Amino acid sequence: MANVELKKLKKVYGKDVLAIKEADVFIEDKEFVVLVGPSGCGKSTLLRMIAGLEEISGGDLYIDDARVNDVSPKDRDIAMVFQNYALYPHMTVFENMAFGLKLRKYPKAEITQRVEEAAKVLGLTPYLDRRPKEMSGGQRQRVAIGRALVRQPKVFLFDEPLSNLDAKLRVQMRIEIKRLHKQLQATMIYVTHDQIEAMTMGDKIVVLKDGIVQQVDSPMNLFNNPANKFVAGFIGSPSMNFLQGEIEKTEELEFVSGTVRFGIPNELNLHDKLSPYIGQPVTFGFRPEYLYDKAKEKSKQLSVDMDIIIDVTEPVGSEAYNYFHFKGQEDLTFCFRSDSAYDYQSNETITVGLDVARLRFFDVETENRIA
Amino acid sequence: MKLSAKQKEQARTAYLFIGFPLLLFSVFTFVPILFAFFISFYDWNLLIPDKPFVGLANYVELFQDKVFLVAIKNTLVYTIGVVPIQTLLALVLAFIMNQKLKGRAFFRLAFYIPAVTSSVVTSIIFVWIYSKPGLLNYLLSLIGVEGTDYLTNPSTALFAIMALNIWTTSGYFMISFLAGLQSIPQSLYEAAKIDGANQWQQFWKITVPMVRPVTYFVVVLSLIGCFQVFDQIYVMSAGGPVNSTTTMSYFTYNNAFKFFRLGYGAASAVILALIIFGATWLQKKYFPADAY
Repeated sequence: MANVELKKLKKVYGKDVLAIKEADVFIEDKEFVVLVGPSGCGKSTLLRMIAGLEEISGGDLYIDDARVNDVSPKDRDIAMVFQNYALYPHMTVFENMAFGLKLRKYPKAEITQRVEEAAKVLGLTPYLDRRPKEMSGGQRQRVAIGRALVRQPKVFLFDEPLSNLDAKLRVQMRIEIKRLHKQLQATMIYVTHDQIEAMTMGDKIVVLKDGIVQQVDSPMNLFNNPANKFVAGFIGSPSMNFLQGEIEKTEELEFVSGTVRFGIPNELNLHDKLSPYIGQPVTFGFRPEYLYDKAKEKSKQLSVDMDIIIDVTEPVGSEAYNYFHFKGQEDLTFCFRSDSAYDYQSNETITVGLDVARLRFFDVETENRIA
Repeated sequence: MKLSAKQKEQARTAYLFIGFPLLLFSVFTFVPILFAFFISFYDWNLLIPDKPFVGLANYVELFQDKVFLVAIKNTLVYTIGVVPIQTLLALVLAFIMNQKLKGRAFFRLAFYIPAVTSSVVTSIIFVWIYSKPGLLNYLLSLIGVEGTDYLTNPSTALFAIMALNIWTTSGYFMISFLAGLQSIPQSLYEAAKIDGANQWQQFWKITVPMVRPVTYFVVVLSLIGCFQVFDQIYVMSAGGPVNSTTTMSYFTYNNAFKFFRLGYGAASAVILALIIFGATWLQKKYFPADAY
């Protein structure tokens, strides 16, 4: 097992298409790290650079303290699971899993033993003689994982391995991969565009956008303390609501945007950070789960009363996503998460308050978080 | 199942569309095949009005005819020599042409041009190349080797024509392999690289098995083409010297259209058809296309 270090790693396609701009990430031994971001953010490119399938244009890549920039994929002691499984269609499940070991000239008995063990762990024992085309998507993905498993590599790489599976199977495989990680105690790097997958699986998450690492942090830290507006909006579902307004100073600091106005209590220690923005525009961010119906929630410290009008509600089981606008501001829609039992109706006016401990503010220009 | 009026009209139109090509096929292919089979049991001479039924006499005579036996041998040598080399060469060329090479388009064109050039033209060019004062001997003279006149020497004539055929058809089959290669997902090679396969292992363990359906198609076409080889022989050697390049097709042509023994020629054509049928059947049985 090994640690992986990316030092100012850079990827340029052609002359000037920058895919990855100086990525600095340290992945500890036995860690499960998820690279997440929207399509085209460079997450797969970064993974393929670690695998050795993409040339590195600049910076250094270390696996276990050895610089591997110019080491071929087979000598990096890594294994990779591909999005489309990349199973060899002309080989049986056994042959697929044994291929890497055969090429590395392992003794036959050991190959058989390793493949059978991996098959047992993944529930593939009855299928060892089948060809990939005779198997379902989920089973194929297991074979792809098995192929990586038998090699017992230093680092496992996963490139969106679950995105071809249906929702139910995806959850199942997610748990299985997590279980494998615990069992193997291996370093794993996992690419996904699905932030739920990232949040549920990663010990650490690397959020990427336009080839730039936005934040490297634990899932809950990303959720609670996003470094910037992008991370705040990307992590969490439904995503954070943003409202542009101004900081005003009366007796305390106040956020004002049209008809929306609330005070920021002094005891929150936000004043130092927000004071330079008095009279300046800022983006205010609040998560759908931190807005409360004042008639139902009594225990939390909430902001002043605000009247909202429900536009549409989407019940999704135990909870509902209610899309609303602030009274007097019809053109801006936000989301508010509630217990579905409250059964709000369209055009219903309710009085809500914000959890003042969860207020987040972002610089309008740099989009970095102020407080 | 009862058809509605509209379905009936559609069916009528469809039959009309396939009717015309079917008619052409019937007149120029199916009927002649049946007719050839029919006259192979007759002493059918174009110049003699009397065409008596002779039963299997033509077939019996064929297997006593030394030239026919030589023709079978030559055809087998030709096929066994050409098919594997041209298939392998086509695959290797396609593999190379599928890499990111500079001037790739030029090389693809260069290899494909022989396939679209008239075989009579390429044959005439090669008659010159193979002649005593030709290009091949000139090149050999540069390294101090004295060559022969390849087409008039019985020990080299057939091999010279085989080489020409390999050159003209490899480019054609290269295109089929190229299409097959391009349908292999890149991720298979990436997975193989990570599994530890070098270039050679990637070629043998991934490329070759993955293009197996194309290989099947190429081998079948190439087998049939080789068994029927005629035009190059007609232009370059006329079956000579001393029948060393007489193939079954050329034997059939000679008997039917030079000696006007159509029944005898037809019988040899039937034998050739049976051999081709048998060879493709064997291939299908023992080397199936096996699409994954």
